[in-house]
Amino acid sequence: MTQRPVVQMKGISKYFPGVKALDDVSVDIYPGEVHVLIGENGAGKSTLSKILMGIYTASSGEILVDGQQVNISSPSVARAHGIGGVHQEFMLVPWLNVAQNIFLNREPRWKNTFLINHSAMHRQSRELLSSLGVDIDTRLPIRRLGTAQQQMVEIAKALEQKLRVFILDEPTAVLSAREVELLFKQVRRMKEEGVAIVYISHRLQEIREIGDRVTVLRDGKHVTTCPLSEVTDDELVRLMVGRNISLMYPRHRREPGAEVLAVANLCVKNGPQNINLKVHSGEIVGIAGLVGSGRTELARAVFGIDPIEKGEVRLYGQPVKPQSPNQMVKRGMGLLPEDRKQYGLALRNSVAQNTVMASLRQRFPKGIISERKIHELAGTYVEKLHIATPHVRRTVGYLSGGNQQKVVLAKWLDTESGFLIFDEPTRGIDVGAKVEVHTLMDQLVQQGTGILMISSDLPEVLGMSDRIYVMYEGRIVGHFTHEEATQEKVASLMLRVGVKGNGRAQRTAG
Amino acid sequence: MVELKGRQVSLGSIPPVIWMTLFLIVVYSIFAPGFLSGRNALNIAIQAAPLFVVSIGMTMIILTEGIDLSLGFVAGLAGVVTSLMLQAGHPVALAILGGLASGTLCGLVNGFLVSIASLPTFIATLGVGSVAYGIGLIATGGRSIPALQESFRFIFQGSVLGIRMPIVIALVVFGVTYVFMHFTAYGRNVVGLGGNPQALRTAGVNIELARLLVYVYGGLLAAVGGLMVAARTASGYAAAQEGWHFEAIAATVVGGTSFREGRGRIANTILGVLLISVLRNGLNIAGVHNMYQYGLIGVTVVTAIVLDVLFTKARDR
Amino acid sequence: MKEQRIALAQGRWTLEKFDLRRYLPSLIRWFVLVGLVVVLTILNEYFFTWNNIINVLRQATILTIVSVGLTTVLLTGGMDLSVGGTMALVGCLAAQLMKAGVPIPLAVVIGLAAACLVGLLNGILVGTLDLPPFVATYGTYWITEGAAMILMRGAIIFGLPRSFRIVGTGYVGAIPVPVIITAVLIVLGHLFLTKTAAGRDIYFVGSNRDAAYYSGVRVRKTLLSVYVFSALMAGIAGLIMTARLDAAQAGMGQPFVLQGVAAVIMGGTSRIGGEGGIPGSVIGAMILTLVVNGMNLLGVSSLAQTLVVGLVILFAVGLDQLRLRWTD
Repeated sequence: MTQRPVVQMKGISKYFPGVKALDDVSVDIYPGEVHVLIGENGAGKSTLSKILMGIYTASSGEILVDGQQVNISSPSVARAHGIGGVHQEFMLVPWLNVAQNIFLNREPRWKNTFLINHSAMHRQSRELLSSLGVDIDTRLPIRRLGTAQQQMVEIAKALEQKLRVFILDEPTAVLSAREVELLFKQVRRMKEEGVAIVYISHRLQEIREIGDRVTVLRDGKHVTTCPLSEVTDDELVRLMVGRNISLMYPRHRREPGAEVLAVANLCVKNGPQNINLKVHSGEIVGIAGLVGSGRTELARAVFGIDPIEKGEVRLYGQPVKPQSPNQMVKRGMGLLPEDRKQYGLALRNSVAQNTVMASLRQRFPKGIISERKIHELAGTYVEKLHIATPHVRRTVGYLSGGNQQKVVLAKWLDTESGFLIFDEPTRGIDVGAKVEVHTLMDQLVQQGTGILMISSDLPEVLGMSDRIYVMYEGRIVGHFTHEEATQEKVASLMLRVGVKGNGRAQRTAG
Repeated sequence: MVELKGRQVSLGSIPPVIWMTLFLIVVYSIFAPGFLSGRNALNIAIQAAPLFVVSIGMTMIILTEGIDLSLGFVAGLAGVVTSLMLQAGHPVALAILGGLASGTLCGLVNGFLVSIASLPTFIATLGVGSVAYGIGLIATGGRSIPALQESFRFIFQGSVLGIRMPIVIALVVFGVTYVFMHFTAYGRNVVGLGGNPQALRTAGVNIELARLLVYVYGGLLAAVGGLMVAARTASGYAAAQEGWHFEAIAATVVGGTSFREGRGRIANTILGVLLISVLRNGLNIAGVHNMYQYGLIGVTVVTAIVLDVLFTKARDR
Repeated sequence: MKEQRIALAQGRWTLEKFDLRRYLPSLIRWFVLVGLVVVLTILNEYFFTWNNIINVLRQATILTIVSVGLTTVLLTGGMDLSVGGTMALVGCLAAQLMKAGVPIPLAVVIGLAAACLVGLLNGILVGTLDLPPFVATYGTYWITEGAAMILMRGAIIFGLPRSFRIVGTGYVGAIPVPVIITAVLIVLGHLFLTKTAAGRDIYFVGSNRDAAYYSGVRVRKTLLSVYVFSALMAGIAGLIMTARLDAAQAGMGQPFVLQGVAAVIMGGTSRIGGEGGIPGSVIGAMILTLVVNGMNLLGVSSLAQTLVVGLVILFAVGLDQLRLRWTD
């Protein structure tokens, strides 16, 4: 590169309580090219971009813009330097409409007054959105939009700001192929205008299509930076994961035992229809499917949270009508939810308290609890599951994602349930912890537990499951045993159509 | 479906508050002689005006996921300040300014405590309310101070262009607030604070200042309402509007503004105020004793809220 | 300095040094309480006499009992504004019944049953219908106080049977009956919250209602029970108040609502729920009572008292907020 970098990050480290998210990372960003940041979940890509955008401040290291050291202390400062982008969590106000969100704090005013010019705002928003190929009524409040549309609004919002460094953090997770193409068109146009683009993703196909240079992060450390043309996909994967992939999914297969869960013709209102599946003790049954295919809804229905319209559920061979989680837990079942912070943990409470949340009455049948016993119990799980916490009184909110998930697991282990549903068990967890969770799951089924695993991570599904069901738009569309399953077969059923060369499915009618 | 202003409006999408108000009007027309008259309708509007003004302020505060339990005492204090200044011989305009200033000051303190000191809104405004009340009590010795000046009483008694002052004031306040809410950064901040303050912060808005302003405005509006009542009763009395903030909260929530999500609009608060005022007015006319009124208003408020929650759940599905 | 065994990873135990920060809020509260006592004694030596102390304790009972009930509600992240009305309703109802010749125990039971009904209503509105507690209990407040008003028709009842009045004015040994009742309720309440599974559920629901539900905690039952408990406490407080004053009127509960909530929050129970407990609320109630009692002793006009109470509440909560900032 003969040009000078517009942004240089030198020796950036970032600490959170209990976790070192970034460790001495240095990256240079050049104008007019798409610089891809890849790495596994928890590798530090988002953290780095948030530091650049002013949402976090680095614990150590420095950032130079145009060769001058700067202190990006807030998003406004970042924007003043021309740095901004699209965040992972939507920075949208649900009760304001599309135009208001796009122009948040930058609303066009009537000449010489402080009054907001709504018609100009809407007009410009519409132009912006149509250049993205999106057709949304700009008067709609954000909360009425689907996730993909909200994402497009976020993108429009960032585009409007005419930035020099444009950061995109996993922008395509919820977009259709067509929307991705339009986004890429915008990206290419910005490239021509000399904007430096930072693109964060772990989807290799997309990166090939749009990226020029790539930086690989792993466990918070910088692994390598090089032009994309000089690495193969395999090399990238190896750099990202850094270890033998087969170790990621430690499984000891055994003969399945008795049936623990059987679902017959299950229909949930506005949800999954005609679901038939079985889980046996000693096996992990995986459910693959796209976001929105109804897997979590199925789990919630079986667990008694959402009402069941039709169909039967049998737990340990006994028919049961799930009415509430309380009932199902008493019958020997548990659920590790997708959103562990919202539904799995009381973040302000200690590890010990969270551990006993489900098993309190089991441990203390007389209703009188002993704080000491709770602590001892929690201590045994800390040891067994290798939970990284100084002691059991630690507030759970301070633990890293992986350790938080272990606390959730500890909670359900203490109920000694024979059947557990894991919904996205390793989402948002660093690689090391992922392996640990997988190992624990394997140990569980060795001891006779039956596990139903919902996961959007196809390699995880393929690697961990003994059998796989595929769901699509609320129905089960396929079933594979571990031997039969391949990535192509499962993916094609998940997407319901043929797969194009770049790995992105095109939706045909249906 | 019915035609309304050229658009199709589904009957099911009309908030229950409107149905309840209509229901009350019908019942009253039958059982209470004199209810359904132009003069009475005017009466209702005039009685409702001060509550409406205060409720607007409360609505905005609730939209930012806060609450203000001081507004009743602030209103009383404003009346006290103005009456005292009048009594001391100051010109009416100055006295009114003084009253408004006192309300604004209280709002400032509230805003500071909530926004910058991050105290829980419940406690902070409760404390400020008690302090305001206390100051009012001490200043008046617990008595009510007469404020008989004609030019002051004009606020309540007079008319502008044939419309009674209270209504004029209410309309002006509503108009100004509407402009603020829809056409300025202030309005966007109010909604943003309740919906996603982080989004505002990343957009570069000073959240603390925004929140402070909401409480300042609330205090100012409370003072306006308080002065309106003082003009009506021709006196300043510290305890004059003791339970007012509760009524304002009820009116806001009944009107459809939800605590939890920052959803709602100030226009809807009119409906809540209307319901309560119509209810009160009808009960008065029918000669229902004060003590029954209390219970009935409670039942009505609870019913309205329950209906609204059910209605929202049904509509969101 | 006491040291505690804390479970650690690798199966080892460790001795954790007495962590000051954990106990700081409680210390501050005690400090304020003791400080108040000291200051008041200096200002007026009558303050620290046996007579006055007993007086203060007796005065504190009503607010304390209400606060005990409110603590459980606030622990779930909720609110109960109806306690003022419930106090009045129960007090007035029981008084009316007794005047009409109903035997005292029966009148008391009926009164408390009415309290339970109010609590049930609140519990259903908040737990099942999912209404915001602030609004729902505010509505119930209007209903209960309105019912009390209707019951009393604006009058005040007095001249209640002596055997009932003992509850408010009597002594067991040197200690007033209400103080004993309060102490019993405090102990029972605290034991319940800290040592029973049902009590722990209250904390779970308050920390994260969703997570509690997903973990199999019976959320609705828990919510119902705290509102019934709070109403029951309010009812008991109303009865004691009626017995002590030998008077019942519809507005008698009004000042206790906000003071009760203030006492609980001052006592360290967070409004969002999941943190806090009864001992803290008791101290909060004591502090508030002391402030009022002290002002009376010092001859401060009742007009200024409102002001001072407001300032005290702000001060105490401000301290608490500072503490939060430090320890985070």
